[in-house]
Amino acid sequence: MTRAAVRGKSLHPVRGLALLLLVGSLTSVAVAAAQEARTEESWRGLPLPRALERIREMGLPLIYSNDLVQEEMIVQSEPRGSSVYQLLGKILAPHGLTMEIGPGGTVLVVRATPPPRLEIEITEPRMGQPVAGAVDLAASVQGTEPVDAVEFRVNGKRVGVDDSPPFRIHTRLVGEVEAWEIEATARSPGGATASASIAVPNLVVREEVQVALREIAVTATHRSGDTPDLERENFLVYENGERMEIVSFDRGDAPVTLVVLVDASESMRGGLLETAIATVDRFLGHLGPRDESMVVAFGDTTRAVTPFGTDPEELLAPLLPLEPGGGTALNDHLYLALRSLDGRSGRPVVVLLSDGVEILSALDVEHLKWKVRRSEALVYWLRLGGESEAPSFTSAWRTLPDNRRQYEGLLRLVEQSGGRLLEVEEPGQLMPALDRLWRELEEQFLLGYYPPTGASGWRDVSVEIDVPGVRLQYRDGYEAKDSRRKATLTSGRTESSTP
Amino acid sequence: MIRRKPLLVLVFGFLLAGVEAVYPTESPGKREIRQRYRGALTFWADGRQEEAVAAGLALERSSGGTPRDLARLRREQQAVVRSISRRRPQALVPVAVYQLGLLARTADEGDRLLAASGGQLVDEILATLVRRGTTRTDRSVAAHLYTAFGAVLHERKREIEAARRYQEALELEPELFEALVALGIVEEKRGRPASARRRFTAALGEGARAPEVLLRYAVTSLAIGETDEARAALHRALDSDPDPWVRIVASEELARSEEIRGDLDAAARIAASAARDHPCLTTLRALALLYSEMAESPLRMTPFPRESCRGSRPSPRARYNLPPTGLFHRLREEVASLERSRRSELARAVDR
Repeated sequence: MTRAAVRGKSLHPVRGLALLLLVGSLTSVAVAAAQEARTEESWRGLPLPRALERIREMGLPLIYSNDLVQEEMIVQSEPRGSSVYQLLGKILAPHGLTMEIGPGGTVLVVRATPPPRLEIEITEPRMGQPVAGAVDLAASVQGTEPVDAVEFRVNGKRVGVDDSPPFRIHTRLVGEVEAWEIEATARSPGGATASASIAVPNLVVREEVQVALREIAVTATHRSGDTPDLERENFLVYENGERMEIVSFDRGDAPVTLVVLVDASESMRGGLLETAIATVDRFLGHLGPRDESMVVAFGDTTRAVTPFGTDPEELLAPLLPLEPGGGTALNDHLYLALRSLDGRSGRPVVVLLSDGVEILSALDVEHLKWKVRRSEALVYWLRLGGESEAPSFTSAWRTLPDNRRQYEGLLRLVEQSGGRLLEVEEPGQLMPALDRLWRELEEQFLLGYYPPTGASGWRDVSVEIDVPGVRLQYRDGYEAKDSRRKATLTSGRTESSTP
Repeated sequence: MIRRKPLLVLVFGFLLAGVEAVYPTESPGKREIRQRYRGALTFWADGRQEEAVAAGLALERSSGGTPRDLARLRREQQAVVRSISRRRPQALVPVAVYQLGLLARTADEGDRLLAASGGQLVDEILATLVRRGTTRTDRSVAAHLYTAFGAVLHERKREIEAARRYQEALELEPELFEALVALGIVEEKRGRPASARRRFTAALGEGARAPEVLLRYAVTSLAIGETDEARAALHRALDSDPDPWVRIVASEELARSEEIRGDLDAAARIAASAARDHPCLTTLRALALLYSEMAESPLRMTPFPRESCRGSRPSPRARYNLPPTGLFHRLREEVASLERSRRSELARAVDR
């Protein structure tokens, strides 16, 4: 009994060992779980000063200021990391703090410098909204930094900059493109930049017809010589006798895209070329940031040409070393100037400074007429030497009547384009004439309307005004192509620039 | 009183001589003019061309600018020429070549000499040569010299005077190729394409395949509406290994003839091909872009030549107004042998 009792109470050594192991392992698991639970509780929710104290207790020589580390700052999540430094970093980061190694290996808690942040969004036009003609481009900018300026580009070309919110510019989009790639870039004084871009289709009504906005530049002059203050309601626009609704109305500040043709032929000797270049220099000084110009010097060949730009110094540099020489190929260069303006945004204008008449061009004035009727450019001819009769000479290429036809045809074309002839009798009058021309461009009205669908061939355009005593100057028509045929030829391109 | 008069004259004479010695008059005297002109001709006779030209120009420059001074200079030069003509008429050929050489020297000098009636002296020399020349060779040489004189005037844009010399040449030698072509150029420039075309036809009558003349013939044919003949001539010109300028202008005109026929695609192709070969030429570029635009066939070409083309290059079209390429050179070659053989005549004729 006793033995049994003893047997019953005593443990087999193996069993005892197993029991001991079981109890031990259960105990260690329980202790580990308890420790785990205690650790989680000890970081998350802990006030930041207490957490930092704990880290200091772990042996890190931590220094911090009570201004930076305050009681109400709470450790927001359980930090994980293989080292105490990682733990510290995780604890500090949510509070905009970080650590730095200080003197003697101390660790300083400092304010983290947030990376400058700029975000920009194009707000006008909206994605997918077809646009053409006079349009507003706008962008909103948000971020941690002030903004210096927002630059707008369309199809890679800078069209404007605005340096104060709301960031918005007004521009004209005219061109034979399928879509406008609009890009806005914000820049901060600290060098941070942010860009956004959207692509919007060129204004076109797809399906059956393609109709583009047509804009007429109208110069209005009161008989007193002043430019009258007119509103959209004052104008009436007719195409082939049919009244058109004016859908856009703009004045003056629409950007100008300019080609300046400077005659550098033999006849410009005697200081004329130098005067012309100096005057063009001043004229180009009027260009605003949204305007652009190219300058071409020509004789019987192209003597110098600059790409489109706005800096008068750069635009005129290639012309400075030129000596007048050679004959005059006026028709060729005027055609190429008009051709250069095709597809460019901005109000197209050609300014021709020449004392000469056509001698050596391969193109006839009839070719020019063909082009002028298809271009939107205004042609201004500053004829040096003043009013004169038609030239009375022959050349190997043209007879006397033929040369007269070239001259008179060119005069007519200048008027038909909506521009005009400015007589300059003496070199000294060139500057005032160009100033007058620039004022005229600044004060022009731009009337936009949608032409009738399916129009083709020559279209007469007339503009009337309900204000007495005001003379209007504008292009009196245009050559409309068959839009559907054009669409076939150009895989669906729009006709906004070459109606 | 009577006794003192010779004395006064003598004193006055001494005074004048003294003033002349201290302030010599700029214009050379008659005797000096003759001596210096003979000296220049002697240099020429000896084949010392540069010295001869320098001496001739120095004489021209040293004479006063007044009409009276110039008249005296010409008078004395004419006296020397007449003297040479009397002794050895054949020696007038090198004298004429020498005078033409002076006129053609440089643009400024040539213009000045022509303005100072230097052309009149050449005219007189050539007229004397024609008058005294009896052989066919003499007339032929005179015709060549008239043509060369016409070319000098032509290059200075004095077309009417040039045309008169070309006509003189053709009266002496009606089939002289250079004179026919040059006169045709002047007539064309004066707005007479039909008359010019007749000259070019005559020049081509010898079967010459001169590309330049074919081009001119084609241009005048186009001007009077003979498009098919123009096209045929242009193709022949382009197939005849022409100078670059002839090739360029012929391509332009061929493109234009296609436009006249209504084939804008062909016009665009021709102009574009030529424009790619000559990327700096504005005329070709303008034609290529225009025809491609009219034909609605897109062309990848910028409107204006690139910056690398910057600088003044004479347009091939400008060349078209000038006398035929190398005319002066060819004429010079033809008379050079005669001139050399007659230099010895000149040397003997010049009174040293």
